[in-house]
Amino acid sequence: MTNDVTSRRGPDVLLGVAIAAVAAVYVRAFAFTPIEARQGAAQRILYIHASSAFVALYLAFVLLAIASILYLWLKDEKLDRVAESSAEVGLVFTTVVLITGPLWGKTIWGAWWTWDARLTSTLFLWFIILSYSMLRGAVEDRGRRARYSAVLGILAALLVPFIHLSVYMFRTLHPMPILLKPSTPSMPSEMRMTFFAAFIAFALLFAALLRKRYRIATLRDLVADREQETA
Amino acid sequence: MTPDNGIFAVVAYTLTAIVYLGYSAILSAREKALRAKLEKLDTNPR
Amino acid sequence: MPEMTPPGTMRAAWIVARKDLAIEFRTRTAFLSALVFALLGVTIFYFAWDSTAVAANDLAPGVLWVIFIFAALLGLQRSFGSELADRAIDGLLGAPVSRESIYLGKALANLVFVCGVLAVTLPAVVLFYNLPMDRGVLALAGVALLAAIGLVAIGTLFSAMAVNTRMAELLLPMLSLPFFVPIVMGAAQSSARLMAGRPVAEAWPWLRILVAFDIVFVVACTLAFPFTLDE
Repeated sequence: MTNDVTSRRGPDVLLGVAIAAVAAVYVRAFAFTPIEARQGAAQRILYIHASSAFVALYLAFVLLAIASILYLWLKDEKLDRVAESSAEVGLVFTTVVLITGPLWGKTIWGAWWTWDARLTSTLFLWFIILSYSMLRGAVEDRGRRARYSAVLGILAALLVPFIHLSVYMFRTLHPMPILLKPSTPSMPSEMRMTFFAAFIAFALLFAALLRKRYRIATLRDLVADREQETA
Repeated sequence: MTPDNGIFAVVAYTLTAIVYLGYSAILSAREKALRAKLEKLDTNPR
Repeated sequence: MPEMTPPGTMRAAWIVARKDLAIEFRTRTAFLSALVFALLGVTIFYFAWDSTAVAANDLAPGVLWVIFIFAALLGLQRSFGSELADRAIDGLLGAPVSRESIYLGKALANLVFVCGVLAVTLPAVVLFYNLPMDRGVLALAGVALLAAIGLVAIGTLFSAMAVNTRMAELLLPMLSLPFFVPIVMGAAQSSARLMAGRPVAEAWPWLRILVAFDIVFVVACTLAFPFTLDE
């Protein structure tokens, strides 16, 4: 185990910077970005909704899948800890998407939940990551847990495209409430900047939380090993 | 566009902040507890 | 005793399947339980809906798929349960058959099991829900077979993992159900169209998902199975 995890550390600078970045986006979204005429103030929700969704699917889940494949190939415990951390942090981000989505949807569609393709896919992603966590919780032996999780991670990665396709096909074949386009092709540059800033800030937040959660996993395993030794 | 449109944005942003900040706090607490435990084990082998 | 060459993969799978089915046939408890569950479910569902609001034969395919999933899950529970006692799986692993054959054999046995349940449930649905006995029923059976392959591929692999955990009965459905979603969607949508007498071309996009799912996951689960073994 590396020393730098166990040595005494000061405040988590990365996390601090990330939170500051997110706060800056908050300020920018409310104070410096114009509102889209048709949707009104609720359109602002998209900045945090879309960024969190991007992080959840393309950062957290992809990392989970890659770590799972690499673990089965290289059998390095560190990869399992990365997968574990990515799953938990990804679950948090997915939860935010599921909270902000209906809040935005209510203003656009008049209903909290409309089985919109993207939100439904996100709901399933949430269930998938949740079941991954349940599997990890149910297996006690560390090696077996890592192997089982890796198998599930890879299968889940194969599943997601099927879910997206099925849900999309299901939705387009069934009439849904009239959908206002979330952003017109000619988005004012302030909005584009805010989106960009939001993506960066939340990606930073993901990195910071991931690193912290990874450290927790390493510490936990270290503690367990020490307890074994002294038992 | 409903008149209380802005409220939804405020609620969304607030809940989001609560979730992320809350999770960060939970992680920080867990890390602190584990470090303390590890230190105790390292300095106090039975 | 003359030197015997170990059987090839498919032949070995068939041997494993026959062994499993022979054991199952001797006691028949799992099969009968799944059967009774399916029949009761089909019956109860009829009373759960307002038959004046929803026509019985509109309801039927949906009922079939839901009951089908849960009956399949019941049957899949027992898939690796018998090996758990006395570590009988070690005997299986000691035999000169590839790990993949073990998986394929078990999956094949499960497929026979599920088809057996289907062979009784499908006529029951036709009877109780007054489905016209035409080509549509044949289409339904065909789609059900495709769905069964996917269900069994996933369920066999997950039951191999779940059986080693503390909450096996809960874990198997939790892990499997997200994977069953594209199967049920594909099966329900295509069978609804086929039974309504629509041209096959309309059902084809959904059938394609079902077939693609079967191919992808039979291969993926076969390759993943060795990683679920403790050796």
